[in-house]
Amino acid sequence: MKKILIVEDDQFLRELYAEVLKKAAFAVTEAGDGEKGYQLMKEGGYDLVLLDIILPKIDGLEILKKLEKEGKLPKKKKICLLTNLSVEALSKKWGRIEADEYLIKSELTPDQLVKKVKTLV
Amino acid sequence: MSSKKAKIIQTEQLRVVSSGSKIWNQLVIFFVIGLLPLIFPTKISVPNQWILFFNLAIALLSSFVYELWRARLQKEGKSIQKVMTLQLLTSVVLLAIFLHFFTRINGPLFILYLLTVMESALNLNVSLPNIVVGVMMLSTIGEFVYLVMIKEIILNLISMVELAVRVTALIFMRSYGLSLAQNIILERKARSRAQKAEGLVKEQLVELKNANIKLKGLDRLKDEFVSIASHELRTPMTVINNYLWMVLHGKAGEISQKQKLYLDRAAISSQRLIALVNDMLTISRIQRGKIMVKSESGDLLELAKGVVEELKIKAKEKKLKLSLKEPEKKLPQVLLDKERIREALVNLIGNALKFTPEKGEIVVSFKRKGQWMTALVADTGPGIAQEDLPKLFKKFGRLDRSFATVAETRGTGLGLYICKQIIDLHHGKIGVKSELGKGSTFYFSLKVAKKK
Repeated sequence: MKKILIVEDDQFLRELYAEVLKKAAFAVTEAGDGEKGYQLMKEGGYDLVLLDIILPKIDGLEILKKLEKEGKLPKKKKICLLTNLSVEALSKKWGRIEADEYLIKSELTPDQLVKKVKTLV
Repeated sequence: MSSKKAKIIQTEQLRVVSSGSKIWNQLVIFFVIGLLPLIFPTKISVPNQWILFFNLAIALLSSFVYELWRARLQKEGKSIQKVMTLQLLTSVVLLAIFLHFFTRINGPLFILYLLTVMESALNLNVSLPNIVVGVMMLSTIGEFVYLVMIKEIILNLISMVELAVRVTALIFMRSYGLSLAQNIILERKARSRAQKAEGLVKEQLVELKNANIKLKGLDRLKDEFVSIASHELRTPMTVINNYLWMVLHGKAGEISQKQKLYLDRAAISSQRLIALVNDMLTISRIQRGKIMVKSESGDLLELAKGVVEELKIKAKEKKLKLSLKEPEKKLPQVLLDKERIREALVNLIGNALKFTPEKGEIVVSFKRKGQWMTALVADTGPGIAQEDLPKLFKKFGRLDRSFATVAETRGTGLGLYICKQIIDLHHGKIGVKSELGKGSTFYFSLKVAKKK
């Protein structure tokens, strides 16, 4: 069973994503804020991390920069950024955006999420 | 209030007097009066008549200088008496020397004048011009007495008239000297008032600039608010949308036809709301200059082909025929920002799909004219009335009379406005040609890229 970490501060959305992914036979771990997300990502062992950008405590991009410094950044395509920001705005803040995947939350339906996750793991 | 008004009127009148021509008039009068004694037959020799002329000049000058000094001292708030004493003594000494050299008055008489002057000066209750005029009078009378006594000439009518003329002329000179000085003072005051007014204007300009900076700050605050509010709005809208999707797709059990219809409408509306927030955010970013267009040479045809392919599914749903008319000649590259122009194309073709009734047709075509390449999106929709055309590219420029209702079209009313912003950023042209009942053609033109 593939392991997926969801870092998303909105409880309803996080639980919905977790539900549809569990139904699609993934092992799902949830984190509701940046700090928890950072700890879990540091421990590692996930096939894919769905990472929100605007998070309490530590910002999603901040987590990536911290992990990069510590050399614990997951491999390319093992991170999928969840965002409502435009790609242009994101790429200014995170240089590796081209290498990582991203999903625009407001345009995403649950089945599209599952489809995307399946292509990534 | 009224006394203040009267004062202003008075000042205005004085200002009129202070005009340059008046000063010239006064100078002319000075010369005429100064020359008057020359007309009269006199027993005094010619050089003496010139002495009279000099005397008058000094009366004028001293009055003039005195008035200027007085005004200056008052302005500086210094003790008038202190400075005046010095001024007075200097003038008196100069006058005495003048009289000594240019008149034949000397000896005890001269000392008498000098003593009178000094006494008056030290007394300080008498102003300089008055002293000068006084000295002049004394000098004239003294001279007359001197002539009578020494040369034993009998006092006659002509000499009396001459004396009177001299004294009158002196008094005239004193008053003219004063009024000349006052005029100059008034002019200076007017000038300083003008300078003050200028300063006031400058101050107001600074205030305006500050207000402008404040306004710009407020505008930025508004944009920031839009950004934050949009983000905060989008998150719950996304949640609503996703849960509606779940129920609609039977993830929470079977739903009835009616339930499906109601939930569908809720979902459509929530999607519209998200689209509106997105559009508003885009506009806010364009207006803040955050969206930059990077003009690179690109293939407009390829870009349009991609968009048409993408939207064909939507067209099929509505039983519409969407096609791209291949140009006969190979099209040149144009200057464009792929992402932005793609957005504009999606908007224009999307609009055509929305407003064209079932079984209609939408054709995307291209035209080249000189340095401009034009992309056209023609539909067989209901068309737009001529008077409505200018409203189209404005914010929320949706037409009340338009064929489709708001709910049906799911539009935000911002699509064409955004298109216009995008094309404007490209320094291109955007427009529409339409006729009621015959469909509409929306088009935009971009500059052809120079070949490298």
